[in-house]
Amino acid sequence: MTEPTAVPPREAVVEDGLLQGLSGLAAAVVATPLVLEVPEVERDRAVQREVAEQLGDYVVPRLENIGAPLLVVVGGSTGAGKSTLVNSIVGRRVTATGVLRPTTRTPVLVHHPADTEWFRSGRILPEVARTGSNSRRANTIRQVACSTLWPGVAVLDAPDFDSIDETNREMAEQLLGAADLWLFVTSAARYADQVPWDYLRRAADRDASIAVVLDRTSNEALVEVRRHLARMLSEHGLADVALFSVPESVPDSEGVLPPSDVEQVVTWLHVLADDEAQRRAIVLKTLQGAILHDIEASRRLGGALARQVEAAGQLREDVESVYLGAHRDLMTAATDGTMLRGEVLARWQDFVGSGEIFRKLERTVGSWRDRLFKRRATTPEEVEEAALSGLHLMILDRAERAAEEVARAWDGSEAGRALLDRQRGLDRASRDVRVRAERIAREWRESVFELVAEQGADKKTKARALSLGVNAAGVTLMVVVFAGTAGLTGAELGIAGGTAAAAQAVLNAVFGDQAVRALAEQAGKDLSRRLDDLLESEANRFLDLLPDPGALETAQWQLEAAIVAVDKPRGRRSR
Amino acid sequence: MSALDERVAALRSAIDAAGDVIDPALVAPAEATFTHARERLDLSAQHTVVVLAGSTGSGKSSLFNRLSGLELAEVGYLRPTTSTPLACAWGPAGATELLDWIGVSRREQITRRSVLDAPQDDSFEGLVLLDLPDHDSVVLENQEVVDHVARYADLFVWVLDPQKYADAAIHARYLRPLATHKDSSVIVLNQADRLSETDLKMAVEDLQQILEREGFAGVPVIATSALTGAGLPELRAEIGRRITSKRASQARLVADVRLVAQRLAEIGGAEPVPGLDRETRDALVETLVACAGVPQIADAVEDSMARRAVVATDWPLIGWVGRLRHDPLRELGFGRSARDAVAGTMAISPSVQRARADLALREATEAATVGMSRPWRASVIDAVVGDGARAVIDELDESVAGVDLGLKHRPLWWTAVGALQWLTFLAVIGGAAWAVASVFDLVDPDPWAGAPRPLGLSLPLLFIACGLLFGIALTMGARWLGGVGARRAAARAEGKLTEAINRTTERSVVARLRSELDRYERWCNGLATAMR
Repeated sequence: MTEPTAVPPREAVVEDGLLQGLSGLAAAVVATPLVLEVPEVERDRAVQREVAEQLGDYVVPRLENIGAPLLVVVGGSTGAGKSTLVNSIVGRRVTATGVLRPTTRTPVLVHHPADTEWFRSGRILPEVARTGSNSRRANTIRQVACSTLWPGVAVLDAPDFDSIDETNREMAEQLLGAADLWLFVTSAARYADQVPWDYLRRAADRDASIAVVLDRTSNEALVEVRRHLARMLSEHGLADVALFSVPESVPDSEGVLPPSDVEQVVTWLHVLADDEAQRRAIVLKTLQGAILHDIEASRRLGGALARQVEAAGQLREDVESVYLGAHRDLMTAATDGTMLRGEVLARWQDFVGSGEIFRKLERTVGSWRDRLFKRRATTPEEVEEAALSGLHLMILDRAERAAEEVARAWDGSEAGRALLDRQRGLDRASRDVRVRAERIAREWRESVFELVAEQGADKKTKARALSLGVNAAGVTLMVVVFAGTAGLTGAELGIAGGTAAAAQAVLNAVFGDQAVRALAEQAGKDLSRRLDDLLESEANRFLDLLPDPGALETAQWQLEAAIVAVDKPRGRRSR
Repeated sequence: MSALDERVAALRSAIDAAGDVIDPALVAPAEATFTHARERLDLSAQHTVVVLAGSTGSGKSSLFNRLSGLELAEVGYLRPTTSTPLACAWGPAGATELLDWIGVSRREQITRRSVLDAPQDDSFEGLVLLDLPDHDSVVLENQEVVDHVARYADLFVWVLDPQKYADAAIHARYLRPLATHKDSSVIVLNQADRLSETDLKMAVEDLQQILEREGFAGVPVIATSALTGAGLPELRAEIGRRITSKRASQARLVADVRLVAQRLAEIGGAEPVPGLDRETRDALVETLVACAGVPQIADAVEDSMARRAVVATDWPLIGWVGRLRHDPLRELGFGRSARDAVAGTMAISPSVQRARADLALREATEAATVGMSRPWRASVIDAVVGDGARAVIDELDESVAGVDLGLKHRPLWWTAVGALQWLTFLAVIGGAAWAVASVFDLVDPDPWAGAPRPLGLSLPLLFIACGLLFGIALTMGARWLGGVGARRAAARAEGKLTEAINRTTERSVVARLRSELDRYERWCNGLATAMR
C-alpha cells in the first residue's frame, strides 16, 4: 500500500490535459468494436465495459469535482446483510431487507439533504436513472435524502454480485467502479467465498480504497473468524484496510440493528465526513488507482482489438480469395472454348450449316437440299438460347460452390462459426442468385447486340450489318467471345476455333478485321464486369457481417492515441 | 437389457453412424462416460454413493454428522472447514473398493459393518455417505475435489442455506448444467432454524421457483436444521428410499449418458429431415437425363433412322442423292454400334453439363436435408455433390454408351419397298429400252395386238409411266412410313436411355444420398434413445 498521498491542489490533478485525455480515452474505449467472437472475446468485452463504465461513471466526473461528497458503496455477497447495515448506519429503514435472495435489486443511495444537488446532477453514474420511489426498473438508483447522515458522505446500498441474478451483478460491478470507498460486507458464512475475493483482489490491484465489515457473526465465532479474515486480507495485499465487525443480532421493526452493534462503522464514517483532508486522500488514492488500472486495461483492450483485426482480416481473405477464384473460373470457362463444345456448337453448326447465316448475308441461294429434305432452319435465337442458358447454369453453380467454400473456411474459426450460426443459410448462394444470373446473361446479350448495332451504325458497314441482321451478328460475336480466340489466325485455331473461324470470317466480312477484334474484347470485358458485380454482391453477404476494415483501423489508432494522451501527462506528473 | 445398456448401445450406434462428421475431440467425453459407467457397474451394486455437496458454511459437515449419528466430520467457524472428502459406508462389504475407485483416501474411509450404532432402522444398509469440501471458497483445490467426486455420486444432496441459496456459484456451475441429473438430486435448505416459519416458507418457495426455472421441477426441497434436527427424518427417509431401490447408481449413469447425448445433439443436431421424396428424385433424374444429352441423342436417332429409311426405300436414283446427306449420329460420335459412342454426351458442353448436374445434385440434397446441422450437411454434400458431379457424369456417359439405340435394326418393309422400288425402276428402264428398240424396229412394240391401250399409250410407254408413277407413290409412302418409324425408334431410344440413367442415378447418387441420410437417421435415433 502506498504512503498516504499528500493532498495535491485540485488544479494539479486537472492540469496537463489529463481530464481531456481521460474523456478521450473513455470515448475511444466505448467505440472499440469487439464484434467478432474470437476466443476469449467475452473477457475482453467485460474489460471494455468495466473501463468504459469506470471512466464515464466515476473517473471523469470525479476529476472535475474533487471536492464533491464521498461516495461509500456498500457491496458484498447476497445475504451478507448489506441492506441491514445501511439501514442501521442511517438509523431508519431506507432499503428493503428480507430473506429472499437476492433482496436488493434497485440500489439505494442515501445522502445528506445538502448533497442532493450533486447526486441528482447525474455527473456521477450519468447513465443510471434516478428515482425517488421504490421502483424495480432496471438500471435505476433510488435516491434518498436523509438528515441523519452527515454532509460530505453518501452511502449506496449495492445489489449483490454473486447471486443468480445477472443484472444485479452487472449493476454491482458498475457501482463498485464508481465508489470512492468500498465498504465490503461479508459474514461468517461468506468470508471465504471465492467470488467476493475475486472482486477484492481486483479492487486491491487497482489500489481502490476499501474497508471491510464482518457482518452476521455470532459472538462465539467472532474472534476466530475475525483473525482468519484479517490474515486472508493481508495475504491478498489488503493488510491495512479498516476491518469492522457487526455481531449477528435481530434487527428491530425498522430493519435497524442496535446502535451499539454498528457503532464502530458509524463513528468511522462520521470522522470521515468531518475530515475533508482524509476524504480527499481517499478519493485521490482511488482515483489514481482507477486511472492506472484503466490505462492498463485499455492497453489490453488494444491487444483485443488487434486480435479482432487479425480475425476479421483472415475471414475477409477467405471470402475474397474464394470469390476471386470464382470469377477467374467463370471467365476461363466462358472464354476457353469449352462453352462451344456442346449445344452451342451444335446449334451454331446447324445455324451455319443450314445456310441461314449465308442466306441472310447473300439473300440469294437458299439451300435446295434443305428445302428438299424439309430441314428446319436453326434461328439465331436458338443459338443464343443455348449459349445463354449454358452461361447462366455455370454462373449459378459457381455461385453455390463459392458460398459453400466460404462457409467451410469460416467454419474453421470460432469467429467464423459464430457468424455462420447467427446468419443461417450463408452456406448457400443468395436466394435471388438464379434470377440475377439469368439477368446477367440476358443483359450481356443486350449489350453485345448494342455493340454490334453501334458498330453497324457506320455507313459503310450499315448495309451489310443490316442484311445479316443484328441478332445474327450478335450471336456470331458471342461465339467469337466464347471461343476466346479473337485475334488469332485460322491456323492457330482448334476444334472450337474452327467454329469461331467461321464466325469471325462472317464478322470480318461485315465489320472488318480490326473492328471485330475490338468488339470481341469489349464484349468479353463487359461479361467480366457483370460477373464481377454479381460475385461482389454475393461476397458482400459475408463481408457485411465483418467489421469494416477502415473502422477497425480508425478505432485502433484512436485507442492508441488516447492511451498515449493520458499516459504522457500522468507520467510527467507522477514520475 | 437394462435402461443403461440400452442407452449406451444407442449412443454408441449414434457415434458410429457419425463417423468423422463430428469432431473426435467432441466425441471423447462420450467414450469416457462409457468407461466410467462400466467401471461403476463392475463395483458394488449393493452400495449407493450419496454425496453432500454445497457452499462453504452451508452445514454439509454438520448434516453429515447428524445423518451418520457419528461426530466424524469436523465442524467449525473457519471457512472452508472441510478440504478432503470424508466417507462413511454402511452395510455389506465392497464399499472399500468403491471408495478407492472414487479416490477417497483410506484414512477418510469409515466402514460400519453394523448399522446398530447409526440410524435406528436398517434403511441405511448400503449407504456410502460422502462429505465434500465446498465448491465456492477461495481454496480452489476444493473445487477440483468436488468436480472429481461429483462424477461418482449416485445421488447428490445439494446443501443450500438461507444466505446462499441463490448463489450463482452453485446454480450456474453445478445445478444448471446438471439439470439432466435431477432425478439423482435432492435439494436441502439447511440452517432452517435461522428463519422464522413464514420466512422459511417464503425462502423454500423462492428456491423452488429458481430450481424450476433451471429444470429441476419436481425435485424435492427439504428444509432441515442440523442444529435442531428439523427436517432430518424427511431427508433420511428420502435417502433411504433411494438406497433401498438400488437404482440410484443406474439412474445416475443413465443421466450421464443423457447429458453426453444432449451435448452431442447440440453439436450435431438431431432434427428430423424430410429425406429424399419421390418428386425430388424424379426431378433429379429428369435433369440428369437432360445433362446426358438424351433429347439430342433421340433427335439424332430420329434423323438417322429417317435418313436410313430414305436410303433404303427411295427410288434408287433419289436414294443415291440422299446418301450424300450427313448422318447426325456420326457427328455425335455414334457409329453403327452405340458402344463406339463413349462420348455419347458430346452434345453437351462438359463445363455446362457439370454445372447443371452439380446444381441438380445440390438442389436434391438441399431438399432432402432441410433442418440438418451444418457438420452433417457438409458431410452429405461432400458425399453426394463434392467431387461427385464429375463421377456422376462419367457414370452417366457410360450408361448412355451402353444402351443399344436400335440402330442395327433394319425393318423388313425397307427391304420389301426397296425391292419394289427396284422393280419400278426396272420397269422404267425396261420400258425405255423397249421403246428405243421398237423405234429401231428390233422388237415389236405391240406383241399382243388388241390388248387394251389406256390413254392410247403404247406398251413401252405404259411401262415407263406406270414405273414412274408407282415409284413416286411408293417413295412418298415410304417417306411417311419412314418418318413414323424414325419417331418410334427415337422414342424407344429415349425410353431406354432414360431408363439407363434412372438406374445409374439410383445406383450412384440416390444410393449415396440415402446412405448418408440413413447414417443421419441412425445418429438421430441413437441420440433420441439415449436422451429419452
